[in-house]
Amino acid sequence: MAAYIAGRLIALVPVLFGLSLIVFTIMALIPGDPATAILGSYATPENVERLNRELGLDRSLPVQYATWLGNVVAGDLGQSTSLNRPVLDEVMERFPATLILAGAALVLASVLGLLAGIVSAVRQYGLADKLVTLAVLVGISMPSFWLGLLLILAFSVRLKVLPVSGMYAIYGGGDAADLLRHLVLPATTLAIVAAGIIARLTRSAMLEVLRQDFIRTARAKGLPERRVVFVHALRAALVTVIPVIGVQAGFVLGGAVYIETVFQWPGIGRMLVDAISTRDILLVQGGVLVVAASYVLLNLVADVLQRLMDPRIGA
Amino acid sequence: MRGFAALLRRVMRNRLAAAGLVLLAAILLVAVLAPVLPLADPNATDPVRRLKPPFTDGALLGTDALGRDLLSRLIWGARLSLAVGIAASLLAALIGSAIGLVAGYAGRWTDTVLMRGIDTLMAFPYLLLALAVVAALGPGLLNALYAVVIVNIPFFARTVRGVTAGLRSREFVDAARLSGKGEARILLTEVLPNVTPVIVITLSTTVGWMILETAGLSFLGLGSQPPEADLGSMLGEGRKVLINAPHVAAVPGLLVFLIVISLNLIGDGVRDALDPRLRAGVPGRPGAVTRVRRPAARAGGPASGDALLAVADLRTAFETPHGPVDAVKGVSVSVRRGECLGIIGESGSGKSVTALSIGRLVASPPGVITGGSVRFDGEDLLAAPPGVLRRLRGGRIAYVFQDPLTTLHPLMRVGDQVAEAIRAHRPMARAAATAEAARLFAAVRLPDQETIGSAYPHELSGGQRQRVSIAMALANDPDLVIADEPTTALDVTVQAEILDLLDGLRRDRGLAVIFISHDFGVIARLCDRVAVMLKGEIVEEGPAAAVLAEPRHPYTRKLVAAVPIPGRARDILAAPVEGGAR
Amino acid sequence: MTPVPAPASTDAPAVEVRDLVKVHPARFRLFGPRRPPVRALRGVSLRVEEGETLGIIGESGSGKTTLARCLVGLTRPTSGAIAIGGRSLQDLGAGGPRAVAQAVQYVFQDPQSSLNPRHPVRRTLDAPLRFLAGLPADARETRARDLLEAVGLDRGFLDRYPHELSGGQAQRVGIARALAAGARVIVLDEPVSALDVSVQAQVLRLLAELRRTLGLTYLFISHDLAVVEAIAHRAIVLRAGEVVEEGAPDVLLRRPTHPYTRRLVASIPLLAAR
Repeated sequence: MAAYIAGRLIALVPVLFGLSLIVFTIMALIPGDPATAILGSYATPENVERLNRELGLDRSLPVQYATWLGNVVAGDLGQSTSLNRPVLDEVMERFPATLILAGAALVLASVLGLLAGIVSAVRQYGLADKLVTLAVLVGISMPSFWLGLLLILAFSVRLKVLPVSGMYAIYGGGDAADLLRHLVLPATTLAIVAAGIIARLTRSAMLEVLRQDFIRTARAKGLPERRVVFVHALRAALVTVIPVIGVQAGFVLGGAVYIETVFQWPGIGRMLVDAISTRDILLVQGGVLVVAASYVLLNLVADVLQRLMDPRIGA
Repeated sequence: MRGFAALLRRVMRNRLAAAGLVLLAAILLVAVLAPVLPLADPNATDPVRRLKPPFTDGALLGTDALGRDLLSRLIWGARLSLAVGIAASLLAALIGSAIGLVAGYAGRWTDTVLMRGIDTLMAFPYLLLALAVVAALGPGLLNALYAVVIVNIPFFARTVRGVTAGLRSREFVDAARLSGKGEARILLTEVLPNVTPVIVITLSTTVGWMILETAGLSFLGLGSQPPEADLGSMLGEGRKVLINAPHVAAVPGLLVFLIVISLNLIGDGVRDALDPRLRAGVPGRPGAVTRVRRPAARAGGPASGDALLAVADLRTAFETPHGPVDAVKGVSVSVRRGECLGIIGESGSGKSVTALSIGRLVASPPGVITGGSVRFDGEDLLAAPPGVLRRLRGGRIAYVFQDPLTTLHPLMRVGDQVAEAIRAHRPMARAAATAEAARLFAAVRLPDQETIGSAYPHELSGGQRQRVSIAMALANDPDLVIADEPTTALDVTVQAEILDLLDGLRRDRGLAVIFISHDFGVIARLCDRVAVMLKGEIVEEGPAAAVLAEPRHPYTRKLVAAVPIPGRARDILAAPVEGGAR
Repeated sequence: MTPVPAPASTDAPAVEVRDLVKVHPARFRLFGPRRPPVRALRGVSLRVEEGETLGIIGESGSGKTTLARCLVGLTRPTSGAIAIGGRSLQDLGAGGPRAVAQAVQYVFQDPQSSLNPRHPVRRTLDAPLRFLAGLPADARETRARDLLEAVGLDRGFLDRYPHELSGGQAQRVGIARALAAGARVIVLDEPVSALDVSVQAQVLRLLAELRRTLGLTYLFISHDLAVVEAIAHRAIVLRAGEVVEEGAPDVLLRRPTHPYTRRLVASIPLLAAR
């Protein structure tokens, strides 16, 4: 197992390399001149040229990439032009808020999705199954940014039970209860779609497994039906569901961009949207890189979990 | 085109999908007709008439913050959103499928290089990559489209590559190669037609998302730029006046929701219609016991005498969309203690269904027992409650199935699987059950009985796996073992070993055995009596040696004559060539 | 049935294999256990005369399928030589893959999976007639009908799809496809083991008759000694990539000399055992 994890960790190197290459390439492709964008169109050519030199934009692309990558590895993501502070500081300050939001949503989505999917499969064609199927359909068709607005209207504007926006706890402005109150609406909104996808997949995986030969064997052994469904079938179904939860982590991290915008959540998603509109390239680069790298690690965890459950993988 | 019409018919049969299709068609129609409909200018501002609520005179859905007519903007916005979303889907499907086809078919380094690239794209959290692309290209609807395309290419590439790689190793591809077809021709005429349904399914299940994503980017202000507005940017504008005029955001959001839900309904319908596994209707979840639906009349039936198991007039059917199909049509057999009964038949004869019906293990739905009785030690199993059946299964009646690779749980250690069978019937500590399992492994002559229990099924050979199955069957000292083609998946030499083992065990333990096989030699080796099945009925029954030596029924005669007997195998060539009717 | 390019020399055997070796190379993985090289064939030599049927007997892992695939050029051997009608497979292959397919054809074990599920029988037969026999479109239709007739199927089968065929019918189509190329040598890889016993006998009869009337040469691969005895003039026993015994099938059955053949013969469940 240790060898497997070590192997997977080393295998991450090319992925992270590719990731950095893509991030860099995308930013290098930006049309127009970042220095002009930063200094405004009234900047003198001398100033533009000086800034270009400071940013290293006057050198060849491979050199730029090598320099950039060296800096990234050393922990230097550059200086944000719009905020006038190191990108790493800004990213690290905002990332916990996104992690809290996305983590809460993922946990919520997994619990809801797995439960709904299992109930739905066990009671196939029953009332519970029909309700779950309908809820899943609505959930995965719902634009989350719209759902967020509707929830704000219902719970904050009309009922006034939950705050519209603003989350300050992690910056020392409130306690855990305050954080939780602020977390309820955005985390729920973010979880809905992922829960729907997980529920749908769990249902179909369970139904598929329940038709397999080894389930018949379990019944032929005289096992109680509880054990057949919740041990034999669920165990085999989880092997297909867990990687999907890993993929959902990516959807949730990405979807956080909408939710942070809607709920004014001080996370990295909002930072990215702002940075794109101010053309703060280094901030976009740094933010995307950090989130993508953490997503890669998350998928590694999902892979290891799957490997623990399925001895056939990598044997 | 004929295929499309047929697909449409099948999709329309699904009520939900039909509803989605009608809804989408209506939205599309209005969007397409936007230029000729009597609509206000969507971009005409009127500061006097700002934020009017719905149902205001002259503005059915009210107006937005600049006094523009919401209905008109909604229809024009929907037109834009649909156009961009559908274009993005088609582009992503085209590029992604092409990558997947080439990678999957070429294999080797082409595959490695292409798929590493795709993997790297997938290493980005979904929307984040789209953001990065828009960041690079700058905000704008066309750039949002490119972003959505790039983000969705990996889904198509991966799915199509998986299917293609599976098809590449199929024998019909080799056959096409031997028929003189070149690689490009094989890819286009042999592989692609088999991949197309998968592409259509993926497309129909992802087009909704892509419309959502385009709208989302516009919502963030990164897609369509004013004055041009799609549904997403309308929603974004509405958000600014959410508290005073909620309808400005609610209405475009609702339309996005309706478009996406209709697409998802259609997508599910297309998937169900194209998935070959679902051709015969979506199968239900098989229950713990086969349903019994027999005429209530004769509950008694004749006493079974000294037979351990007496099956009388058993009828089992499978429900299909075209009505029930009878698989077993009135089978009567009995087995005494310590006796071995062989049931022989060709594929489709109903021999396996008969065997499974005894323990009510026929998958149900679609299986249903429609008549007869199964008396085990005097008790009618067809009337027994599930609890009684559960205690009998694996207790006094044990099963051994055909392919032990699929019939053992792939993720559980074989020792645990046997220990579990023991503990289901005899409460004992886990350690005691494990020790008992090791003793059983010794009884079926598995090597390393102490350690082999910690192996997973895929780590054992076919013969070893079947020995594990037999150990599991013996776990609770059964009276009757029902073995359904237990040696068919094995090599001849391994088969001989397993048959020897079964024969020895049954004599030592006084087991009654029902042995299902298509192989006369195997039956002759093991069984006292044999019943010959044809199309759900027993056509001949008697002592095994007698039936095989002097078959009476014409079908049995034909079968026996077709078996090549070593030493005079050429006899089977004596008869003239018949047509291929069967 | 069709004129076939005459063998280079009349006394050359229909098939000659010398010292054929196939090693599936080790699979190197960056991590985890690496798969050692698999020696599927360890120097197999055999010779089949024109019009003869050679039985090749082996269990799983014996290398029989690898041998079969090498013979038709689907797998490239590591070393050794194969000659069909006196011409080496390499020479034939130099003239393009079609030249090999015109000389030697293949019948697959699983008839269903060897037919494209989305093509009707007509299309399946059309490819070899077009690319290998080089017939114009109208001649192909007639020829396809003749071929179906030769394997005992009526012309109605031309429009059937594989899922509308029984196992025996599908295998007859597979045989017709192999015949369509006009090859004189046919490699049959377990062609009857997926079939019911009554259908198996019919297909064996058909194969025997086709060989007689068309003067074909068969390499018939099977795990079943009795089936080989029914159809083959001579047989070899393959084990772990090596030929362990060779002889007339009935002699192999009655007086096996190699211990493995003895075990194989003893393992056959006999119909008239008691």
